[in-house]
Amino acid sequence: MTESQNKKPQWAMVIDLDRCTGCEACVVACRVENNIPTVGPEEAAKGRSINWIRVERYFEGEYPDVKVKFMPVLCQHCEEAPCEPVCPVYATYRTDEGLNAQVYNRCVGTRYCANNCPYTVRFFNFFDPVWDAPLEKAHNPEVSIRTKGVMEKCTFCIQRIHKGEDLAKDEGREVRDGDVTPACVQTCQTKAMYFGNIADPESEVSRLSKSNRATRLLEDLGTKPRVIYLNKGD
Amino acid sequence: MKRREFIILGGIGATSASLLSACGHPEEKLIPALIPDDEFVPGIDYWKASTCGMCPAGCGIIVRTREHKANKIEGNPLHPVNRGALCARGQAGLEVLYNPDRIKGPMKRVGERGEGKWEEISWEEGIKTLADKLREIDPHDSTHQAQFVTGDREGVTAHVAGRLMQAHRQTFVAAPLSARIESGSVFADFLSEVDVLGEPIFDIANATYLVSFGARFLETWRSPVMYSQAYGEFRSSNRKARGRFIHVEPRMSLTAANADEWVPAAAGAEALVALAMIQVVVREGLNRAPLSAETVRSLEEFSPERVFPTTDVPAARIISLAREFAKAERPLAISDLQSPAGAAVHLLNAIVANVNKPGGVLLVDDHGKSNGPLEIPGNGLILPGESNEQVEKPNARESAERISRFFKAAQPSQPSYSLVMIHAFNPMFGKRGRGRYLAVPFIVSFSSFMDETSEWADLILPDHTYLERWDIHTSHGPDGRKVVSLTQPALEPQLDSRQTADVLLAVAREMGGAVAHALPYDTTKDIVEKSASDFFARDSREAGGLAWNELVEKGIAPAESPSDVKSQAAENEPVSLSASLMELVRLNASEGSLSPEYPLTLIVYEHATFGGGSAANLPSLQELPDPMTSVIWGSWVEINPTTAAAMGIADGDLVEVMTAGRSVRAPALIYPGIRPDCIAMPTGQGHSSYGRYARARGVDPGDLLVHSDQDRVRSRVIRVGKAKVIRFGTALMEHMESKR
Repeated sequence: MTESQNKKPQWAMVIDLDRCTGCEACVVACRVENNIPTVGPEEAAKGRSINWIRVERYFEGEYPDVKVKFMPVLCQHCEEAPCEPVCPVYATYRTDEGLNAQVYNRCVGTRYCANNCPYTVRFFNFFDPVWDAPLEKAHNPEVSIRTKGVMEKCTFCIQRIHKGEDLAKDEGREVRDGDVTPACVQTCQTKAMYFGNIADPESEVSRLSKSNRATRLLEDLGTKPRVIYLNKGD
Repeated sequence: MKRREFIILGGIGATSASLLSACGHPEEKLIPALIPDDEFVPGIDYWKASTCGMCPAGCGIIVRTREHKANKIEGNPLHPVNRGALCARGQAGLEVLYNPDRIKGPMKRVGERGEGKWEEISWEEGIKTLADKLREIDPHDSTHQAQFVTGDREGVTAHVAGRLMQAHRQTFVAAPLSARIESGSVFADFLSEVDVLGEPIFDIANATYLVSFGARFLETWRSPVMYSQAYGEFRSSNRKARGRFIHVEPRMSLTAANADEWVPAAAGAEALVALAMIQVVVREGLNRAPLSAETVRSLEEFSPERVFPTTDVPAARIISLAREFAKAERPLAISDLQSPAGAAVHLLNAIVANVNKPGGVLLVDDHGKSNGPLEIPGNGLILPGESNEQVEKPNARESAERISRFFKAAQPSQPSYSLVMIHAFNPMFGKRGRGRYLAVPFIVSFSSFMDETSEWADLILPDHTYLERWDIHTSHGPDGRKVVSLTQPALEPQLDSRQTADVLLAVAREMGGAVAHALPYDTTKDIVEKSASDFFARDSREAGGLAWNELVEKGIAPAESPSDVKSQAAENEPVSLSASLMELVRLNASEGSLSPEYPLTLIVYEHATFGGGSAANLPSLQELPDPMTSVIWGSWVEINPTTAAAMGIADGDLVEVMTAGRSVRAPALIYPGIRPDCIAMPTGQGHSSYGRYARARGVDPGDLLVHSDQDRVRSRVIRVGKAKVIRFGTALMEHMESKR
């Protein structure tokens, strides 16, 4: 880790699967915050619906011994992200705060990144997004609209990160827990999601990431995700 | 002022962050509504506190606006009901405000009814038309009466309308919660014979062992956000060990899916399971509160062994559940108290003595000294000289009976209505409701949308959405404390709509006489402000004006201190098994047998985000995969894999579901979480109108339920009927995701 990274916060998320009920409030909150369009039934059937965060649901067993598991899946902001090295134009790269960023202006739409992402959390804009007027009035002015031919994905609500960092700067202090809450974390009904600086040993995400319930999605792949899941149980 | 739409990337928001920020503590920087135009600064976020109107739970919200546009709704962190969180439906609220299919202004019908030909009119004409129609009604002629129906029992509209109708000696009906949820479609006789006990708060957060009898508290039910938060604490909290959760329901709902154990008891047998658990607790001497000898004797009939043929839950399982329950540190059973299971559940809680204790049932006394601000004398909604008399507002049961009568075949004693005004309620969504209401010569709809009721109406006077109007809401926090929260405009009205209460005030002025005298206010805001100020002044917390300012700024004010709650807590009276409950349980049990002709039980359940259909017009929710089935933009029929295999039905096949004389067609969904003798369908879809996102999408299973006195209704949000299914084709997959 370089010196500059030492000073910068390293953003990470913890999702407690014991608390998550699969209600999908996070999915709608994300859609509203990040100007994600709906595509309608026909395009959705072709797999073109965009959800930066989704809730996976797994059935296990047969009636009557059926068990269900829910797992919210979003960009894992991997420290060793498989999507990054395959981009021919460096549209996707790692920021010094540990975010896997996507530069829309640079993206030429090869879709190699989506192909290489083991979490299927990258979405391609097959057409220009459409909002039936006046729904576009609800757009968040701090998030750009992605156009046709561009990949998009979860940003950890970078606009909210900036706001939190600016607030801390204005108050002349380091960023601390609670300064930054992505839209999904903010709305979570069961408080199953946590967000913070994992480089700060005092932060909630640091503490929880050391839990014996902590696990990472497909960690065998060596992607080193920045999203940490807490398994069910005590 | 129209502003050029432009988009700013994050990172240059330094100035905005210093003033108002989404992060940190927005509640410290809340700004009251109606900021003068010259105080608006472009590029700066303004947060306005209000109350969510997407369901009756009344969560606090803060609305982020910039340049006269609302761009995000979040939970109000100060509101005890939701503490900053919000559900999927609440998050989609801006699609109500900016919905492309909102009615733009008042209209009158020019073509045939339902033909869709409308003429835009002025508000003056609309108000005069309604006032004239009301004037034509002779208060003494019982054959030509007027009726006002609202789905919003508690709001200011109900009070103003109630007052107006009372002054004109006409009928006012506030539809009960369940009717609103079900939008009239699934609305049969949902009346239960069990007395309404008042809605208690269940302290799930502090319980250690939770048994839910069909209460889908994580999805719909009464206050999904409040109970979801409590569930989070129930699962992991520093104060106690992880709670254990059992859910009894024939179909695995999202709530059941989160349980440690799902008990798929036969449809409608929840009450029997609860009674069998009580019987075990009592016979093993594990009860903490005494029961009368007579109750113990009558319980014998409900031993787990004897009820097994009906419940289909092995006796050994009920015995072990009952033991775990009774031995748990803080056991809690929950259910809708207005269902047969509810009465049994109340008894189950009573025998483990958890009433009005942490982790137990907190009884809320709604008939205590102070109701909500709208219900106190002196707020102008109470007739002068009768300071203690409330506006005649029928209780839930009475209202239910009245509406139920309306839906049933005409009865000789029923007055014939020549004018019906319908607000916040869509009774014509279902075919039965439509048939009944179409007999009324003049229908006024106050809906903001061209829903089925508006489509068949004669006059449409569109209401504001909840983000544009004034109102006041009284709810209870997780500790049972009463909370007053304010609904105030987050921004100016977007279209030429008007708040219905304002329209009614104008109608009263137009009519003059006793009616005008009864409603001496200029605006709804005046009523809201006066009621709230008087309420707080009367409770002598502080000067009413100060409390009002606080309410406007924070959107919420606690109406009770914790000590108030304790003082009104009822004594832990011994609860006995009432004869009517036993009769009801027996009646339900005797109907358990299915005929060879209709071998399946149809479960019609409330969709988690659409409710009874009121949110089906929001594209974000249509494209939100159903949490359990991941279906989007459509309806489905859930069938157990074994049942489907026996009938040769594959996932995605089109099937026809038939009940006596009725049928609907929808794709089959092979669903492992349902009993083999049941099929299930969600409510919410099947609109014939209601805008581009809802129209002609899926089917309404409410039409399937046969309305007869034999139709026993098992709980508020689950309707049960008998049905059969046939496969008639392979489905086109376009309305279902290919991979589930």
